[in-house]
Amino acid sequence: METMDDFSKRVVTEIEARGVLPRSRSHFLIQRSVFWTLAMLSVLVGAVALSVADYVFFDNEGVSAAIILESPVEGFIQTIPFVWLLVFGLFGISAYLSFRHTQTGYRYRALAIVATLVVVTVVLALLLNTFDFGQGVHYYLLNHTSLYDALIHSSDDVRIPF
Amino acid sequence: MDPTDQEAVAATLADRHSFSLLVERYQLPLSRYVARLGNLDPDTVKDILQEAFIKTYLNLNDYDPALPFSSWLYRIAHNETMMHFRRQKSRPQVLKHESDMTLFEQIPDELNIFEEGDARLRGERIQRALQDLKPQHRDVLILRFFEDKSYEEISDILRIPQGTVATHLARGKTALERRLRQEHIRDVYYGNDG
Repeated sequence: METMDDFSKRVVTEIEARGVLPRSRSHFLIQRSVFWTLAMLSVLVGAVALSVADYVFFDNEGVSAAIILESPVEGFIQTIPFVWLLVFGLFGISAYLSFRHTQTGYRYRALAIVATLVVVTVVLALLLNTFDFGQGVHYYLLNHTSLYDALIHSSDDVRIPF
Repeated sequence: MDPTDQEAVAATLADRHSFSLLVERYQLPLSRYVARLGNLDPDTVKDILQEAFIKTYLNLNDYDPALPFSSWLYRIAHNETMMHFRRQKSRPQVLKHESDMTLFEQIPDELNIFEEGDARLRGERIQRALQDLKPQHRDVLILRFFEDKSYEEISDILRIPQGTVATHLARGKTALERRLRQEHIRDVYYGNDG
């Protein structure tokens, strides 16, 4: 019958036989920093998406015309920047999963992580929009990509009958 | 005086033969834990444990001293056992150890269930009821009742929030109570009680 001493010797012998060496500290540092970097980048991109969505929805001059002159419900729905909200949602999920994979991320409840991420992203988006960042991104994409124009109902697209 | 786990880890990083100290220290409790997760034969337990210790050695530089070493080791052993079940595509009946029968008898006290009758029958009834629980509830109950781990330790081992540990424990106990009552009623009806 194998004693405890025999088993421990067996483990050490197997480690030697397989040539197993402890992974370096830098390996784990890089691994951890990848998840943190992914989480922060996701929050940043989410904040950019939210800042553009904020501009498109609130600052778009065509909104009031659409609501007054056409069906209010249809007009309202037309102004919702679904694409940007989708981008915000996707990067929000990425931020959540990246944070979960950090060394201590598992200790926090999902609701607490999601709430914190949303608050941080909203605050960052509002900060970006104090410098008209959302507007800048919106018009840059409008002027440089045809696909964006088709996806987003900008003020230029709203028909005013008079 | 025996070196602490942290000292043993540092010694192992300097000389791999020092790893046998950690293996000897945790072999017995981890063997029992791995066996409890799936009623595995001793040879399979030793194979799983060997792989768990080799993975521990491989990832020794990832160990965070802020975490108890035993929790980190239990986590690796748990994951290695789950990988074994996935490879086998099954999870056998749990907790068939004679040494666990006395522990089975403590569970009714925790659940406020008055269990009458023969102690062995009671133990078998509880064992069957545990088998029917969802894996996430069963894993938490095993760590709490059989490994005597705190909520914080269970959180670190299973990598779930402490609040989730409490939820799984509460739901597991409720499911266990319901199952035990059903078993008790059935056994009384069919005259199998005591």
